[in-house]
Amino acid sequence: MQISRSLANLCARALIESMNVRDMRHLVKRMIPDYDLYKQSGFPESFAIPSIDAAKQIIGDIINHNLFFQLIQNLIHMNQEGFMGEKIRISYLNDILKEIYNNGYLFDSENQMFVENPQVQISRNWGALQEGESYTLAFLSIDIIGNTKIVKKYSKEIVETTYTELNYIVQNAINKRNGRFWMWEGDGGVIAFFFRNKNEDAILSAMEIMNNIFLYNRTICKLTEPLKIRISVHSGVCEYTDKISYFKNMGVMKTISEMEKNHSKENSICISYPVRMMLDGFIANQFTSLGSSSTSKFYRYKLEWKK
Amino acid sequence: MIDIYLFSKNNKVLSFFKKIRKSKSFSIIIYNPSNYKTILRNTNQDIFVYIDISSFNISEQKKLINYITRQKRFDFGIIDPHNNLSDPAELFYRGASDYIGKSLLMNEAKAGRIKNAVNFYATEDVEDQISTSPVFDDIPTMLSGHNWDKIEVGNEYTFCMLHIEIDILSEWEKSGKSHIEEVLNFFYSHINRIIKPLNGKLWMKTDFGGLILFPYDGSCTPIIIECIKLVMNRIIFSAEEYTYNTILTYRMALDIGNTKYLTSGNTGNIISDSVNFIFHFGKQYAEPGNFYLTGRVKEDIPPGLLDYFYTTDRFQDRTIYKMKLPILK
Repeated sequence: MQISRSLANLCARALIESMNVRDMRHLVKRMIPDYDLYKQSGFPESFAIPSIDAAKQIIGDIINHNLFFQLIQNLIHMNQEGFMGEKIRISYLNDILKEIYNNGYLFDSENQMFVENPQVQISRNWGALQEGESYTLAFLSIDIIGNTKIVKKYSKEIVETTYTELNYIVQNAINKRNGRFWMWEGDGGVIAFFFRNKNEDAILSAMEIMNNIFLYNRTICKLTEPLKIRISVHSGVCEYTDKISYFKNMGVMKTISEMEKNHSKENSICISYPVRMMLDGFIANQFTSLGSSSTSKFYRYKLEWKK
Repeated sequence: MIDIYLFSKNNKVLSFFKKIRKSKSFSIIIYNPSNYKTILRNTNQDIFVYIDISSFNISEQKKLINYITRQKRFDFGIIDPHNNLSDPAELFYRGASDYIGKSLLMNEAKAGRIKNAVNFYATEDVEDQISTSPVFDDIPTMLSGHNWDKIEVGNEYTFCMLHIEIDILSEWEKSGKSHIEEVLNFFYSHINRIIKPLNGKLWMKTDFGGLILFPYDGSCTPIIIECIKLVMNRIIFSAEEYTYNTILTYRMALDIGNTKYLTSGNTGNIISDSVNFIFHFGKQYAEPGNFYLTGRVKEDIPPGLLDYFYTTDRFQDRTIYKMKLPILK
């Protein structure tokens, strides 16, 4: 986010009116441990730096280090929990949050971080995840079964229409649950979920996709046979990266590949144990264990009908 | 001047209509054929439609012809540049006013021919049609359109009627009125979000749901699809719309019927066999978690989904179809 001069000034005023210079230095050291206010501001160490100069210098440096959101997250935390054992009220905090909201970002209180407002913009990292940092995410992987045969058998136009419609069905299901495409290769891809109940969001997206593909196959699908898909859902800790080739080699992706290769079946959803653990009972019950129920690492759901 | 909607992107077809486009008797508007449903669904004007089937593959052509022959709001002609249809006469049995094949397209259209096509059925206004063209054996249809623009309070119309109620769990029965009210608030908010894009209105409330009216333009297909989704997505909506961590279900009964339209809250004195029937159908016949529809609605089930409905016991002398249920554990 581009920080406007007025927002930077508002934050400087918030620091000046909420704390002394000593607290400001402690605050900034939480984000930049070797921060030296005297060195940055040019004041000799024998001088007491005026609040206004200290605040402006700190805000400028925080913005230069791309740590603006972290500063505000710290201010929110201080306002709620106090600072160094003392209660503290941060002035202008609501005005700052309002200004950030107007710039397309929301504060996610569960994860205690700023994320982009999906109604304003949608980016791969929700405007929050940092390159190289590790996070716990849930992943939904979907692919078309028999892609090569479809491409050979049907005209380019029919294949393109069908795959675009699949993408639309997936997008429709994941957007309402704040999921993000991390990979899409025409015949399938990987979608990441980070907020709220990420495992449940991934599972409900998977079920909605499965149900809509069922209806799609029986109403507007242009192929002469049903479009067959398989879905896998797994969650785990993963380093955030923009580099797809690097992401493909991560541990979570290796597990997903194993699920697709060995456990996923046509028109079904295969999930891993960590995902099932996090589901409400009535959702978890829809998945049957693969192998012995006591040692099973994977579970499966398939849309089946009463006779 | 007669408005003609021409759905074609075929140069031969467009040249065929070249002279007609300059004629003062006709106003021709050309549309991309792939948008035909969207355009036709949104028109309430008096129009004549020519649609070129060459932009569609064989299965799409069938769907298109099924769709267009079901419409009652306009007359239409079929353009078949490659003579794909083996039995063009069948089109006329199904209500077409014109058929333009390969040989005819070699020349340019003559105004006289197009006039003959437009006057083939000497189409009455929809208003006139209302009293004379029964679609069903037992009720005359008075098409209400696809939205509420032309529906006037106090007049009688044909509507698609959905009786829907949430199935109250036995443990809720003891938990008091305020809890049931909370459940119903979740329910109405969910249902209103579902029916809004289909122009549905919750017309009368019942203890655990209500009667929804959808304007009827000759097809209930989108409403059937939404009801099927409500059956299929039970786990999804139980998790996302409610907070009770248990599977909730709706019972639904769908029919097409006639009633005088009065605003919600002023419906106490309505006398309508259709409204009586849908209430009995929903209250006395429908079982928890199930979706039922009558024979006249069945005609609008997409062919690919017919296998998921089966006939069940008749009700008040009508054939009833019940949807199969997905297995829940």
